[in-house]
Amino acid sequence: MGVPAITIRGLGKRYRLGGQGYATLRDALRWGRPRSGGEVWALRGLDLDIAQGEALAIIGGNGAGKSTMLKLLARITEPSEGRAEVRGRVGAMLEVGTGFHPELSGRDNIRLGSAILGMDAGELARRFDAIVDFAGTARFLDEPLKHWSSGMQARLAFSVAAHVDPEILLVDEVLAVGDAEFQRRCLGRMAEATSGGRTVLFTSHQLGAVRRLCSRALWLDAGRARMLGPVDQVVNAYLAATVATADEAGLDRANLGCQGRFRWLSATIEQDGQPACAIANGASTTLRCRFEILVPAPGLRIFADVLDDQHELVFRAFHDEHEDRPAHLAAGVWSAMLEIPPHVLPDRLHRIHLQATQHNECMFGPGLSWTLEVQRTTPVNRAYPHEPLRGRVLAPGRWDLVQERA
Amino acid sequence: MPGSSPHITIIAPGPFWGLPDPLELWRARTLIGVLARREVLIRYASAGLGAAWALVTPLALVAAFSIGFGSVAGIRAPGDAPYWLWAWSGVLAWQCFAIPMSRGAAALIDNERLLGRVYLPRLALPLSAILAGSIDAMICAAALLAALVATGHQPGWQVLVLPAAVLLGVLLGTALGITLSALNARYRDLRHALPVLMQLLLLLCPVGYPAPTGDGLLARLLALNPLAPALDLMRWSLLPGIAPPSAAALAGSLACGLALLVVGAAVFRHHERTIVDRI
Repeated sequence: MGVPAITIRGLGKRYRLGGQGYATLRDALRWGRPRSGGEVWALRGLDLDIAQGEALAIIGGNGAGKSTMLKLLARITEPSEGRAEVRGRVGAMLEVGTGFHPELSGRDNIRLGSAILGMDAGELARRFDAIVDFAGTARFLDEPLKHWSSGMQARLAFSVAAHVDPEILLVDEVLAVGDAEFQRRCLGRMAEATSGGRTVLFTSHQLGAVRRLCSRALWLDAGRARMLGPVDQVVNAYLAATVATADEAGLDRANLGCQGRFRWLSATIEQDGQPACAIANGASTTLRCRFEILVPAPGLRIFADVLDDQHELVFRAFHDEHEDRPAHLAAGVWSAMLEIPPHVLPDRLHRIHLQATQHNECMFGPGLSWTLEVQRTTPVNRAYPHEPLRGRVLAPGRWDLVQERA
Repeated sequence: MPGSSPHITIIAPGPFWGLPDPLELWRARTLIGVLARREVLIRYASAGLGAAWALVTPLALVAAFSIGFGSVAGIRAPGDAPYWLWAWSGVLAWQCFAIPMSRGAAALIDNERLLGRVYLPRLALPLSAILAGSIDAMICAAALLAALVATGHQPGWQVLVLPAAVLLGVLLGTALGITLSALNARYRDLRHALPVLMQLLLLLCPVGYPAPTGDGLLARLLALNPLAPALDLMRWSLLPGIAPPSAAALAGSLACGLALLVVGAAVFRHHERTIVDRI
């Protein structure tokens, strides 16, 4: 390995609680006021060398310091201590469509977005057609952006970002937008970047994409590096440590926007009675939850979505799937469970999403999600134990073969 | 190829005080142009009257001064031009100062989303806002020149000095605009105080009334106003029969503007380091 693309030594970022945020003139004028609140290190003591051409994944829960790390490397904010050396032009994609304005045409927004990401006029002139082609939005180029669909806006924005062509690419969860087809193209573009010798730092909750794109992973936990190593090892360790039970913060988030009519009380994914996010394929998995209905809501339904690592829906299970007529749940505390039988989900990463809805439209809050890794502990087909499984679910039916004639 | 890139960025806690890197700003000139273009497009795309809005504020000020100072208070304008042209030339000088100051001051909070998502030389934001605002001042200047010619008060050769008068006002306004943009993002209640401050400044400047002369304390204090020489220079360049400001006053004003610019840049750099954590 030659000179690393990024050298990080003791990097840290401290935020002050209370004292931060909006200050007022009155505060400043009150001389020698005591510092209110404490301080919190969003990231601390990070040491890391990233080789040129390496694709490094940064994983960890919410608030682990992933975004802070990228923001420091992108120079969006200054570190409180430590030092990093970055060799090469940095392109940060921390959000899709940075600087885009709805009143302006697609053409003007390309000009704007590319300048903000550091492209100069000559580069833009050379790449303009490629940007438009990749986004597939040539027909609407002179329409104001506000008349575009959100999917088209996201495609244009990603296309601009993808064509900046920096030597070091920082990507934060951008793949969460757009449809599955578009996400595949984004991943393809990133894979192209890494194979073309670009250095890529990628944070994502989509561990499947992380595994495919990155060779090494850094696991951040509460601002500290917890593990650094080959991507499979780190992702496995991370999944093994992930608690399959929704904690208080998760429940609070899930209950935002429920307007006091509905409340999640608990939710767990279990196998053999134990909470787990890494599950064996040969045993059944149980999604168990408790919720409270404070105001009776006709047509209230609980459902779970299972998505595969391409973000495609594998199935959606409503609680009243097999009822004759819409169920009416009375006010009170309910507990519910969904059993996913063994040998249904293939051995991949999945995402399980739990949500409540009324008449299929009004959602009660953002719901709860887990990443679930199905591991092949028992072979599905004993005759060919190592054959890769195709399809999104394993075949539920069975062949019946009879020899009619010898 | 990536391997041969010599470009190294050091990321470390910055010094407590420092100045923005002028080279970096120069490299961001495309960005400043594009951002200024965005400002202009957005401002006029969503306004029915379009560019005519650039004249509404200055003409309203001229009308208010003409009624208040010219008719009611009976103030006579120095020189040979009627009061309203004299007031308009003062308002133009005021605009050259006030537009950079107010547009610059709002630039960071108007773009807080951008600041949190991408790195760009932050000074590009107030500078592009000021550049976009200069279109308004230019429209105002063109209208005033047209009015002067139409009413038979063609300016003499002094009109060649007009750009210098404009630049002096812009320098002072830019210096304060940059300072205020950083303070505005830091202290959120400043934005409520700014309009009041602007109005007080407007009334303290000899825009609608001639500067008092003599040895009184008030006259001496008002003579310290660094904007006053810019106003005098503007009027001298446009109107007949006006005395030019003294070279000493002009030099003082210029020095004051440059000093404020350096202080403003340092204040900006100081707050820029942590601005993202606060907005």
